[in-house]
Amino acid sequence: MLKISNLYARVEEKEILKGFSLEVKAGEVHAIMGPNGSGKSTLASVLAGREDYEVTAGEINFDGKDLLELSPEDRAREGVFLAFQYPVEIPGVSITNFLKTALSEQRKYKGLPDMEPKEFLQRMKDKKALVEIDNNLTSRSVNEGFSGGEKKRNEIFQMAMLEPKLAILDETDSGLDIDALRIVANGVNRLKTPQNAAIVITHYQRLLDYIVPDFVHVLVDGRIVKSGGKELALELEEKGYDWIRKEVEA
Amino acid sequence: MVMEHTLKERLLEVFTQHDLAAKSAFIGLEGFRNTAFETFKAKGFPGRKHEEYRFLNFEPLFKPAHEIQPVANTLKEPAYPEWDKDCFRIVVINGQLIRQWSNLDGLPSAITIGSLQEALEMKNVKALAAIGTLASNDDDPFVALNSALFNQGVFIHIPDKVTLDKPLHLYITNQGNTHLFTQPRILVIAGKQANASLIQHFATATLPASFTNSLCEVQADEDANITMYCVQNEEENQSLVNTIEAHISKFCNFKTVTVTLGGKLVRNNLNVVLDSAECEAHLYGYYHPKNQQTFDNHTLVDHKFPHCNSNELYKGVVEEGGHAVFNGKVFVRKDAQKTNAFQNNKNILLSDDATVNTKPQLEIYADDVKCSHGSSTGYLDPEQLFYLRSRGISLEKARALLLKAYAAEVLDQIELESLHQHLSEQIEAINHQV
Ligand SMILES: Nc1ncnc2c1ncn2[C@@H]1O[C@H](COP(=O)(O)OP(=O)(O)OP(=O)(O)O)[C@@H](O)[C@H]1O
Ligand SMILES: [Mg+2]
Repeated sequence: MLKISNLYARVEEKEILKGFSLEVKAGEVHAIMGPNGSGKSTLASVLAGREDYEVTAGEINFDGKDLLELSPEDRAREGVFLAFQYPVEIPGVSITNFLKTALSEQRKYKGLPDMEPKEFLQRMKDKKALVEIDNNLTSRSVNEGFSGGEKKRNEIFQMAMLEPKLAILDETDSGLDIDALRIVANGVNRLKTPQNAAIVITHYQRLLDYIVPDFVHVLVDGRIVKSGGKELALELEEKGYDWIRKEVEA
Repeated sequence: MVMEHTLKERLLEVFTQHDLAAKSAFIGLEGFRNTAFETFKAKGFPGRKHEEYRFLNFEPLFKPAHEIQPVANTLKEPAYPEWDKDCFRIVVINGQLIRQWSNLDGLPSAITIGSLQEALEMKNVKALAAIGTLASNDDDPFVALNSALFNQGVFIHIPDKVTLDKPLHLYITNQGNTHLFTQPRILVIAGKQANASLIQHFATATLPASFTNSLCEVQADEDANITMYCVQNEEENQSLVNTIEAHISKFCNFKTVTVTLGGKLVRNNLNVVLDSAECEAHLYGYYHPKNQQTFDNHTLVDHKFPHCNSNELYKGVVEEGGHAVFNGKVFVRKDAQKTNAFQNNKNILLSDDATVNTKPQLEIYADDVKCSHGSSTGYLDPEQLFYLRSRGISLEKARALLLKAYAAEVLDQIELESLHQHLSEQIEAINHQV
């Protein structure tokens, strides 16, 4: 589904991704861990198409398409979804109107007519239940005045509404209390199908107890230095990143 | 300045030829007109050196000769917008009240809506007492000129305890075959506990470039509740100076919403005097100039007495080639203790070639007050745009969504649902063309 080859990306003259490669197949969950500043969010931004990031070398192929050629909106329409580490507040734009517009634009791209209002409301209701999000929250403006945890939950709600092929969750667990973590992880698991895939960026092994990854990758200084199964996360939790750095240097 | 010379001369000619002062003699307005004209003669049109008008250039507008007291013989009934059906209506063309196209069916009989000149001739006590006491000729040459030259005008009196149960649509326009320079004038007197909402609607279309110098004076007595919507939707070659001077008394609630979407040069002078303790004023504005348009809002909120509140929010979107001016004066005088006065002006630039001049001016002479002002000018937030796009929304739609939300904060102050909807749709259509 996704093949990233030897990717180099920079922001404001600073090289951040330095030869990043990763392949994700349908049905898989990949976890990416790594120290602060190693480039995890940069990777997520580059995948979603943020314009401040300049790709200087490498390729990203998504379902046969050159992702780097597509605008952010077309990437979303192709099925890429980024749950932001820091979701932005948009006062005055209601969540309902926002999601209605997003769905309608995505469907138009696929040649589908707008959803019937009834069908849309039903989907809102179902997905709200899935991520146990409050009606109070969804009647408000996008993220406006939301707590950190509420913002994260709203990201997963949007993911549930849009049903992407590839979800990239950038530290969706940070800022969540234990119950919310369980609910969000549960939501992600229930949205999982053999046809879609997820990249889960996290600092904590705890999340991976709930969302069990097929692969764990360690990102240091802009590239993957070690990959393994879910037990790699446990090892990292125990020993920190220093041993990996040493291993790489050796 | 050449133009000032000739235009002033022409104005003088009109003033003497038509013998306006003498015609006004029998209603006791002779002195009023003469003084006003002398004041105007002494001051002339405000040029670039005039502090209050330094961003505006009237000179090119008056290059062609303007007809100054136009009497059109073949008037055409205008087409009214959808929301008109929810309102009483009066039509003012070239400054004159056109009775046959007004719609005052069901107007509470206690309410007077008619010609200002007639009210003065009939020695209407309220009109006589108020005329000349609200807007001051000395402060602004446009006020002086309107006082000298206004023709007929409109007088609205809502007596004590009377409620105007539908908004009054004041449709103000110009008609003719040449460049016109018109002086509409409205005097509104709201008695104690009177309630009214007025829609001043400027809608001149398809006419050689013309200039409207409108003056609206409002006197609100104790506990009156007055809302004024000002909808400015003229064609792109029409210019307008619109002065509103409101004096409000104890317990009054005065609110204005000014929406400027059309015109070439539009200048709003909105002066609110809180003339007693315990009253409040709310001023809102939205504007969207583009391509060679200048929209200028000058507001003055004058706190003279204690325990009053004022709140002001003006927001604009400035497109390529557009120019917006905001100047908000708030005076809190020595006796106006316990004043709450807030002001905010926000601007979104849609192009590098868009200009905003914004200047809040708080002058506070009392010490126990809560006052604040803020202003911001910037582009649409790239983080918000990216967030929307990352969900599959096109850049164009994302912009329109953000601009709609931005305007809503002001538009939501419009209580007449049909007007609210009309303006929201109009603004949305403009934003989609961006
Ligand atoms: N817009 C920017 N301008 C300048 N530097 C940037 C910008 N964005 C990211 N960086 C820098 O790039 C590096 C990688 O940042 P990134 O956000 O990708 O790290 P991260 O792995 O997500 O870290 P964290 O675990 O703290 O979220 C950091 O040094 C950061 O300061
Ligand atoms: Mg990060």
